[in-house]
Amino acid sequence: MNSQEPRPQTGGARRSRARGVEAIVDLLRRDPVWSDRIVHWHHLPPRPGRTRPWPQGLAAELVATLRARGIEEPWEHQTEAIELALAGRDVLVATPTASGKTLCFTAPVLNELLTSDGAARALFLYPTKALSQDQTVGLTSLVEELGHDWKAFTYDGDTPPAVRRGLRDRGHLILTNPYMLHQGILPNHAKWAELFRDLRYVVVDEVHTLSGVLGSSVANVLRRLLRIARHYGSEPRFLASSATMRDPAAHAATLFGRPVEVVQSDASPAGARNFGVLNPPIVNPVAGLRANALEEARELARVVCGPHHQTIFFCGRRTAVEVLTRYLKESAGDLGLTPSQVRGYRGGYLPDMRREIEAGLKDGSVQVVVSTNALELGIDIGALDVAVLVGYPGSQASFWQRAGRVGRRGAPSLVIQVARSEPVDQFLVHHPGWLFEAPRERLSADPDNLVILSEQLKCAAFELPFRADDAGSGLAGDSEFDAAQHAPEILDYLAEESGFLHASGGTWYWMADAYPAQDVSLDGGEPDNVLILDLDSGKAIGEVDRESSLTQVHEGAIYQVQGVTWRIERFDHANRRAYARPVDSDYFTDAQTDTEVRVLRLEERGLRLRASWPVAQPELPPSALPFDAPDDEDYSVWRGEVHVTTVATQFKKIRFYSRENVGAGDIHLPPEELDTEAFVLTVSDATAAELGLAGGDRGAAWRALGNLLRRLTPLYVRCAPSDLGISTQVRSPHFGRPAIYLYDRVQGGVGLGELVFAEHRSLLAAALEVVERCDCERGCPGCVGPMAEVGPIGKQTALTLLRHLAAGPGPESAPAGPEESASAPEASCEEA
Amino acid sequence: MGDGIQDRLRRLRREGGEGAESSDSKASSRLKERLRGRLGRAAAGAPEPAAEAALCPTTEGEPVDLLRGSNDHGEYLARETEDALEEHHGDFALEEVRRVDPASFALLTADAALGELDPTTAVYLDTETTGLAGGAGTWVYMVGLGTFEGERFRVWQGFLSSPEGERALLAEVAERIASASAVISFFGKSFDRHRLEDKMRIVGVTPPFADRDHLDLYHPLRRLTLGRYPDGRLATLERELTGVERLDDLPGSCAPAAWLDYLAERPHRLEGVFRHNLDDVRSLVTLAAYLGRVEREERADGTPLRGCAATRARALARALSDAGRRHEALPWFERAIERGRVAELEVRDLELARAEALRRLGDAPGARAGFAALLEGGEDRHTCPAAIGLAKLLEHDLDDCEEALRVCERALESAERHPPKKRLVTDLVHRRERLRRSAGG
Repeated sequence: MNSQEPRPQTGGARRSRARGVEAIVDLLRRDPVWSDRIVHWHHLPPRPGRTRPWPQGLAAELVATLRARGIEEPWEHQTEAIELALAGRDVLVATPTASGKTLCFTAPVLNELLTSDGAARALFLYPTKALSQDQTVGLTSLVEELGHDWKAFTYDGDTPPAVRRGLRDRGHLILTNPYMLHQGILPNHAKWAELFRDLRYVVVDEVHTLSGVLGSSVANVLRRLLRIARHYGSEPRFLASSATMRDPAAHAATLFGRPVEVVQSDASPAGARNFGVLNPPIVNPVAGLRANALEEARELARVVCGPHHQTIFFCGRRTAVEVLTRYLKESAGDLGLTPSQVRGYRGGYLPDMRREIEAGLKDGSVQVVVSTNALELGIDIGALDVAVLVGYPGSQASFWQRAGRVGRRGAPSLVIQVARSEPVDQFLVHHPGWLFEAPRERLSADPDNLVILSEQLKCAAFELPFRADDAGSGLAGDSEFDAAQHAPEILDYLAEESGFLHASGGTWYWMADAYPAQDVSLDGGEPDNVLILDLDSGKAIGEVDRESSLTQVHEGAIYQVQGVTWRIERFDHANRRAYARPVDSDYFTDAQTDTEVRVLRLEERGLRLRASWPVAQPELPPSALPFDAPDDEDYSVWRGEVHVTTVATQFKKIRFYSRENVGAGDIHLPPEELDTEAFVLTVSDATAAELGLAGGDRGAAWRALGNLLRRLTPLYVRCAPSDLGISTQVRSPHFGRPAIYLYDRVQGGVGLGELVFAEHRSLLAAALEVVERCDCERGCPGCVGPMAEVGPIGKQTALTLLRHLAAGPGPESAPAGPEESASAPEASCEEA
Repeated sequence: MGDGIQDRLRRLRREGGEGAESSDSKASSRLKERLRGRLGRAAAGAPEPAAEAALCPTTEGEPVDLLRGSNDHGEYLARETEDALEEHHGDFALEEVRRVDPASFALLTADAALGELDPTTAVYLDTETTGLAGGAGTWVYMVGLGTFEGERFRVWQGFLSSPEGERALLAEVAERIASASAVISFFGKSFDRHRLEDKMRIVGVTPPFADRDHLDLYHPLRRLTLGRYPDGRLATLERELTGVERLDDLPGSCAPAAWLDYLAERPHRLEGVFRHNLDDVRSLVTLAAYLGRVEREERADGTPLRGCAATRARALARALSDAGRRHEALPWFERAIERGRVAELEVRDLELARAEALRRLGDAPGARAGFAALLEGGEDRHTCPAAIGLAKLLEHDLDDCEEALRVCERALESAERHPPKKRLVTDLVHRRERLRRSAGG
């Protein structure tokens, strides 16, 4: 884009600032420039709340305290959830952000403390440290208002060892996260005996974040929790919450291993809600390039930010958060604000800074916040007025979580979705209704995945021995793990072959000099973060997870905190420390990574011969094929080990505002490596040519097919799409023909490749069904992807491919072949 | 997706049911293969170095000379060994522990309760475990408990011959510890105690430690010898301080493998572990005897104590000073500085501490001389604190604000080169402002 070209001015600096959400909506609708860009409006009328009296079983003093807080009567769904909890049921509340989910579990928990005279204990699990710290403050003040000295403590990696002991013995309410439960609490349960003896409730917040490998692991961590609680004589109930999602009951039952009551009708009131979908103007008509979404958000800020209401901007990436924060701080005067009223917020800020911003949002001293998904979860910042989503967050659940951040009780709110040039965003511009339909995404977890289960059984056996039942085929007194199909066999394996366990008298005992939880990760990610330090003072200024460190804190990177720019001078990769100096930089940096998949060993192959299922209507007659078909292969599926390398190669220096590229640099960091397992689909050259996949320009369709298969995998293999990496190539150097790789993103693999291999026929059939049934003409995010991504004939090509592959007989087992196991450089990844 | 596809998908999944079943069992056998690769290498009994293997021969089957005991929770096994009190372990006779001054225990652990500790009614505790990782899965399979009984020192070594017997053994251990007046161990406050407490809580035995005095020899002995030896292990300290030479000791690191081998019915080195544990318990006695004599610097028979006299004096000076007993600390500072010079140790920190003690004791001339000597002796990280001490002395005791201001400036100058704690600098800046004001007024 030509950065010299003056951008059209909008909003008008001299125009008086709109006051209040309705006035802003009005202005956006009336202003000729904005009304052009906002291509779709969606209006949800105000909805009154429905209350229901406090449940009978709730202690009078608790009701009095909550009334004193202004809750005269709870919303219907709250009463329903509390009643179910008081009746001893496991409950999941699946309602939108800000519908009062917290009360649904604090009321039963505090009631239990009151009626047990302080004997009861409860454990709270939050997906992030920030959330648990936030909730500890809330619980503590509620307990104080009740006039008791029960203690609520956060227990996480930041808890100093010196206070851990007191916390274990004196904490009534322990707030932690699944990682700490897995590695810190359960393996040391004897130290937590006080907690486990009287554990009445286990609160699991935001369960929609627990899917795929993480969800499968956490389900097992909860199995471990229950058996330890039973050992100490308690039978806790689950109280859970989640965003609205599809089939919450099924997901909760998978996670908790038993049926759960679901409350999902939101009875809280809402003011009028206005949604606008904004498509930035075309700035280069020839190339069809639209204005950058972030720049568009900056301009929009003139209209939607101001001293009389609070506005939140959501960006996809941390860099974007910092860049926009800087812009808005610099133009704060024009918005009627001071720079300190504009703040950034993201993971990686130190806890103190985050607390300060959250408090500022609640007390009104912060009027504008720019955030990543860090504010998507339930951190309490009060309700705001306007949300601007810079780019589609990738899922409907995220969209609604973000939108749920705005809307004070009874007051109108505004959500603007700013579209990027990306295909999915552009699709939504044209099909905005998609956003407002019922959630389509399905969450999936497989607690009995053999590899995950084996690792978790090691951890469980470390904690308490397992006993075989009398029949010798199951586990005695251990209903949670007994429900897992192969538990006794795995325990035998761990005893007989790997020597971790000692089997004697029908009991498996942990018997090794090791601490297994330390080596078992819940989601395959490395828990270690990289700390960013001021080179001169040695003071920490932030942290970044290991995966992002490659692109964020390489030498020469500009690291931004609240609009202040630091240059990374040194990155001590081995010790996970990056050292930075404050610099006055007029550019930021953007790094690129390359991913490579290399075949190490092929273990299994399924082969379909051309003779058994000829292509029905070849695009090219066999005689016209540009080569001699060398073999009789139609298509093959493979299963084997692969090596995946991700390396940061280069970074660009991009000037603020103009986005000019003002330089570049090389990155010299060791690659992130992954040895894992993959499923591979290949099509012979002959079949590919006949199906119209011969030309390189058809690669988009092949890639789209791969992406579609990946997205459908959770239907057949219990995992999340993000558990699988994908790489596609129209001509794979290893196989010499088109190949799609789906690989397990966990180090060592958890067997997903193998399961996809076994299910690939169903997967192909489902993919065909999806594409055939889809009403779109040339592709949409619901099938192969929008046309801008897959090309004008992408959908047709994918359909042709699927019609051939999914029909006819399945492939037969064939030798994976020694010639196939030679390693060769492999396809570069389409999607990291 | 419409409803149709839902049904179709469900149907497809059902149809795939049988296939899924068989692929599942295939997966199970493949799982074994893969687990073999992934988990096999971390197998429990890590191979031992050949040199260590030569030191201690293996035996097979049950350990010999075990006595069978029983309580409400079942049976347990133990070995008992008796020593005469005059028996030596290294240089020391076991009975020397009777002639200690427990005040030294209290001083060097900063735990006043230990000043009343009676080492002849205490229990000497050392355990052998399946590892150092801690957590619920670390087994305590041998518990050595030494007690004085009349003219004998008796070591009872409880042994877990199978996991099922854990509760009976731990109940017995708890009872024996509960009948002693105190516990003496080496690193036991950080390790052995927690392993026993964890396991006792898991099997439902009340741990006996909460209300019992516990002397952990590790920290005070480490303090007395800081910087003199490459490590603070028991083997090092018992050799250097009490002359114990173990000829064919099985290293403690081999203890986990010995028990794991025994349970797996492989040849094992449990005999070596029994002897190692027994020697550890005896060393607890002689090291307690050593620690209880440090303020006198000689054993009951007048023999000077082994070990570095300079680091000992330094530890005592610091401990007394920390306890607010500055008068008593001064002579130890003198000794520490004198001995330190001979031993060519860094003593400027001690000179600083001595001058600081003198200032607090009101010996202004002595303190001034001390600080002045430090300031003249060169520029290092002690210069700034020395100048601060001198400035305080000049301002508050000697009423010389002008000189105090000058020294203050010196302190700030030095702080640039050797930054002290931030708070010190802030205080210093305030002090300078105050002095400037009073100099101006």
